[in-house]
Amino acid sequence: MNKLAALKMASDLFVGAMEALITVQKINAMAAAAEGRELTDADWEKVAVDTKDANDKLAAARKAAGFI
Amino acid sequence: MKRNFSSYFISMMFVTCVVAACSTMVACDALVVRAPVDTPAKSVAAAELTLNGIKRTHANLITTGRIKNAADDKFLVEQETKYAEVLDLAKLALTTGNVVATQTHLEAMQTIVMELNKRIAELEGAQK
Repeated sequence: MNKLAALKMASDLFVGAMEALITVQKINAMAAAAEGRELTDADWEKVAVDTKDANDKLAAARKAAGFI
Repeated sequence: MKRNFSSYFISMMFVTCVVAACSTMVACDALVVRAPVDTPAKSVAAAELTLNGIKRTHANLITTGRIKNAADDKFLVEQETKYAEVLDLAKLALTTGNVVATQTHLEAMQTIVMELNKRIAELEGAQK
């Protein structure tokens, strides 16, 4: 494996790791914001917005790769 | 001197790859086991955010070329769909106040996400 390929592989793996860590942060932020109370419609709306964003991103990637 | 630096650089890249892959697995494990949520509703919301994270990782695997064929994509899509169906059941159980059913569905989602994480880790470690 040459240096450029190794660097790209490391970069790709970091992207995946960062995505997982960002999700953990989102969950922590949600829990912290809603500490001591139940979730409100506004909290669920934020989750719904995040869901739409994730669905759109995945659909775009799959379409670009020709999987759909 | 130059040859030693090149070898050192490549070695560090490999170490970085391993650390990044381990970080992904640890972070995903934290999502499933240790996310600090204290009510069934928050657990269900956390489960939905977890699915969203997995979908983004799936998208990244496609754009970085780690998912090269439709079969790998299909497996992840099937597991994500299964997870989403169980998530809907958990939300329904939540609205009816059935805590036991909600917890059962959350545990089922935990099993699915373990499978997803396993496959994602394999794909991340696959040589291009």
